[in-house]
Parts: sequence; structure tokens; C-alpha cells
Amino acid sequence: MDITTLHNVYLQKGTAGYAVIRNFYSRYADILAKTSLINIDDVVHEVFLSLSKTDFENVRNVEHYIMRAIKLQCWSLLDKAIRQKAIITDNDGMNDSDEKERNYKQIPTVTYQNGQLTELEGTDLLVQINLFKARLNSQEIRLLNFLIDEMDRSEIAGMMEINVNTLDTNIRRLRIKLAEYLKNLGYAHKGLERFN
Amino acid sequence: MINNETNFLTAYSQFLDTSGKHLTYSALSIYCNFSDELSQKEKIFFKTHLESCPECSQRLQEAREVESEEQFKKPASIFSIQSVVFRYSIAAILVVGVGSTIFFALMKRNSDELITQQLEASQIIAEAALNPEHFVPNQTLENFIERTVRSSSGIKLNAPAIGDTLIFPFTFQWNGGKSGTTYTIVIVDNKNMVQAKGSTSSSEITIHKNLSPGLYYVKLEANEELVQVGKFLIIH
Repeated sequence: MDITTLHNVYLQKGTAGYAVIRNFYSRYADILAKTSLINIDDVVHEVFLSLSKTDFENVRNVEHYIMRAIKLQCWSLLDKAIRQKAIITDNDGMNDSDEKERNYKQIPTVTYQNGQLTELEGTDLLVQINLFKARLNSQEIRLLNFLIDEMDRSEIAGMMEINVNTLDTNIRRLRIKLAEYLKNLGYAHKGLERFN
Repeated sequence: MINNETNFLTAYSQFLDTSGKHLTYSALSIYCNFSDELSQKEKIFFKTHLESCPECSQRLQEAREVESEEQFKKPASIFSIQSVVFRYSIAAILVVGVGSTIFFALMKRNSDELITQQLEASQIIAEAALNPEHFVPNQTLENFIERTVRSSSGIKLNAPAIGDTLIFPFTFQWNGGKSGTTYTIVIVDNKNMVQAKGSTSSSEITIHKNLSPGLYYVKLEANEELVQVGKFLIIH
């Protein structure tokens, strides 16, 4: 799907996607204004920019996916606005020299703290990994879910009725695909290099 | 080799086991809309947290309400009609109506003053007529008018009444708040751009800022929470 079709079919006035955004915006206009989203067109634009990065060729049931993704993007904008409001509140009273720090706090990065993801990053990964699943076939989703559930390889191989060597190959392919997806979203961490 | 590898999928899995903080709206949207593809651990993560956290359960309810309303939502007022022609018609009627009122009021004054004021009124009308866009209602803000956003607060904006025409300086009054509350008045234009802002702990504030002719909205906040939205006109 090209971006013109995406806009005309799902985000133009009168479409179902626009109705979702209008309803959302009428409810949270005040909070969204904190992130310079001062009218509904700004929100539509942000949602469009996010969705236009999607490679729809690999997405199953595109229409169903787009409607769900529009809702998700709206909520993401609300989270961002709430987060930004909190950051501004935290930084109230700081001088100009602290401006770099303010900007830094708004940049999403994947980092570990004592070998674990921080809360914010973990929640963000939860969202992105589940969006990623929409572009996988049913077997790949099963495999990814098994890995998330930390099941043993032999157990996974048994449930998927494949041998362990084939399973290792599939796991490697899936991890490369996921790492590529996250890199394209701007995630950067040396751990990702392991998959390439 | 793969089992021994430390990677972020493992870290993600550990996060699901140990996370105790509140869920974001995005995460709740995943739970609402992408639940079919969730892994067992992800399902348990949501279920465990939602069962023990009333705040996140309430937000989940809120998210579901917002998503369920969308197919049935009708325009909230006459100003919600999308037609640009209709909006400009409303703006034109507003300009002519207000201009006429001023004109006839001025007729009652003495003749010397009348000549001067008629000229001013003409200028006002001309100026307003040149900028009809400044009088076009903002659909989103219109939806907030006449309803108390924080219904439990009991705070009500008394003056100006909705749709009043104001002259400089602008005084706003409200009642019903608790002592110790910090009130903020935010004046925005019909593009929702902030034009003036002031804070006080009393129930009245006067804003000393000249505003150009147009339709303006006033937002009353109590302790940084929006309480009520009103609107007023500036003709001169």
C-alpha cells in the first residue's frame, strides 16, 4: 500500500480512521496540546507519519492491522504528552544550561540496568514487539512467543514438530528480523549486533 | 549457543516477570487490540498487574470507553458541522450582528461623540470583516464548553458568561473551589494558541493584555487540572 492510499482510505475526513482520531482528540485535546499537537490535523499528521513507516507487504490482514495501529498510535501520543508534561514539571526552574539534559531525556534508547530493561523501555518494547508480530506468519508468532516465554529449545522443537537444528535456524532468522525491525525504529544497543 | 546468549529478548522476558510499575496507555491498547498474539507470559504480565492495580484497571476501562465511542459519536453541537461555508456563514452573521449592536448603541449618544464612535464602529466592523477567520468556532473547544471537566470539583466559572463580549482589561470570576487551590486562567484564540495566562489563589483575576478582535476561549484550571472552558468575543 502506498502512502497516498493510506491517507485517502484511512486518515482523510469521513474515514473510519479519522473518526477514531477525532474521538480520541476531542477527549484529550488539552493534554495533547502540551506536545504542540494543537489541533486534530496535527494528530492525524503524527499518526500518518508513524504508519507510513510500516512495510505493509509483510502485514497480514492490512485493514484490520491499520485500524488497530491507528488506535495504538493515538495512545502512544497521549503517553508521550503525559511523559513530556512530567519531564517539564521535573525541570521547572532549571536554567538554560540544563537544556541539553531536557532534550536527552526525551530520546528513547534501549539500555540495561543491572542486566534488565528499565520500566519505560520494557513497556515500549512490549508495544513494538507486538506490532512486529503482525508481520509474521502464524508459525513465526508461535516461535517468538515461545522465546518470550523462555521455553526450552527441545520443548519448542517438540511442540513445533521440527528438529533442533531447524529450530535453531528459524530462531536465528527470527532474531535477525526482529533486530532489523527495532533498528529501523531507532533502537540502538550493542546487544542488537549479536543478531547480525 | 543460542541458549547462552544474553540478549534483549531475555531481558524483555525478565522485564515481564519483574515489572511492577503502571502500564502505559499504549501497553493497554496492545492488551485491548492485539491480545490474540500475546504470549503466555505477556498475558500473565497484564492479568497479574491489572488484578492488583486499580489505577491501571481504571485506565483500561477508560481506553475501552474511548475506543467503543468512536463509531457512534455524533457532532456535539451546531458548530461541529464540518462545512467551511457554514462556518464562515456563522462568522459573518456574528460579525454583522455584533457590529449592528454597537452601531445602534452609539446612536443614542450625543452627536459629536456619535460621529467619532460611528467612525470607530465602522473601523471595528471593517477590521472584523477583514478577519472572519478569527471568529470561526474551534470545534474541539466548543465540545468542552458548558460541561465541567472535573465534575467532582464543583468549581464554576461565573464571569464572563459564555459568549459575552469583553473589553480591556478582562476580569474572570469563579466560585466553588477549596481554599489553598491555585487557579490558572489560560486564554487561547480560536486556533487554541495561548494568548494570555495568569495564576491566583483567589476567585478572581484580571488579565491586562490587549487582544485583537476575535473569538477567544478561556480555560480555568485548578491545581493544573482543567476545570471548565468558556468563550468570549473581543470586538475592540
